[in-house]
Amino acid sequence: MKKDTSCLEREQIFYFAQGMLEGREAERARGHLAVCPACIQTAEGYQRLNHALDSWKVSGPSAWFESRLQATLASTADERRGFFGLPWGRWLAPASLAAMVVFGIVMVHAWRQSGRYSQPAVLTSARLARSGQAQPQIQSAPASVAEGAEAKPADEEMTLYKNLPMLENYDMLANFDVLSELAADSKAAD
Amino acid sequence: MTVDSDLELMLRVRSGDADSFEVLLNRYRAPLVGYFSRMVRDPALAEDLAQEVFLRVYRARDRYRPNARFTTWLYRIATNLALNAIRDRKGDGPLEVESDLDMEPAAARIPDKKPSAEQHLMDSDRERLIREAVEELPENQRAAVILHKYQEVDYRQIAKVLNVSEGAVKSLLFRAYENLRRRLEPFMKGGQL
Repeated sequence: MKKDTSCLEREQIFYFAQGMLEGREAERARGHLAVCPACIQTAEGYQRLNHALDSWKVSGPSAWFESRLQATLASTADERRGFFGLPWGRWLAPASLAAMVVFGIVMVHAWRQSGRYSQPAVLTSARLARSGQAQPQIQSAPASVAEGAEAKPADEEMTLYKNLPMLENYDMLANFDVLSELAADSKAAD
Repeated sequence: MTVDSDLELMLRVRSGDADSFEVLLNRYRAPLVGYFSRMVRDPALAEDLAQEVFLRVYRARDRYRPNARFTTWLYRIATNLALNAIRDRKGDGPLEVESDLDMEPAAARIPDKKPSAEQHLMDSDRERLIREAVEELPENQRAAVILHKYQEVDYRQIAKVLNVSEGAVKSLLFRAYENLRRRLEPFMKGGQL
């Protein structure tokens, strides 16, 4: 078998110099470098470069490196300790906050709803009275109003409901001239 | 006294042993600060980044799986942080150049040698030439050279750190050293290196 005497590629010499070749490739490179001055020179060039790179030194960590790190780690540990000292508390805290917000929204909504249905009871009755469907509602309303209070006579109640459309005539109520005329009439009578 | 492996220590950290974390911290504090100092040059930023690595290791301790070497994991976090910092700083203009007074010369750290002022200047000049040559390398080549030459990380492990094949790392290192050789050869021939 003919022995391979051709020069090594630069890349192969570099890999050999850096210990990156193994097995048969390493054997071949070692054998060739033993007899080839040109390839030896290339390998020595890489060794010189390697040696030159050694002269780049850098400073080590500062004296306060560890104390700074310990302080940061301590604050991290506090964060991890979480809500009421529970390990999963950091998830619980935002969840409970969200639950409180939702509860608050529901409560406000419920309060508004209850206000809307209880407050304008008279106006609703009045509208029904105008549309002619008021009779059954009117009869049930005084019963509920009368609970715990002094019962009003039925005819007085009926008068009140009959007058409701007039009381709802805001244009007329806003016209205070009528009232001033009344005052003038009473003075003239005196 | 037996020296605990990084893996054993990390498993103990995972189960809540703070002392084991302290051992890892002492073991890798200087190498990490050195790695970042060469990658980003700014010593203050290097310390901040090294702190960030330890912080991330500590925070991720519950998720640590011993399926790779601890240093592979450590340098992967460190390399990602360093490359991000380099990219962030590219937009801020040229790197802040340290004066020779800021850089502690190599010989000054050896207490039994008293270098002359001339020797001091020569050392500083040598360091500057090498630093500039390494900084001119593309990011991946720079990371590979610093890991290989200064952190003494094996090329197989560098492949895992950079998430590339072993062949790619060998090729990356060859191209990087060729670039350095071309740049530094005139100074080596001139006796400056």
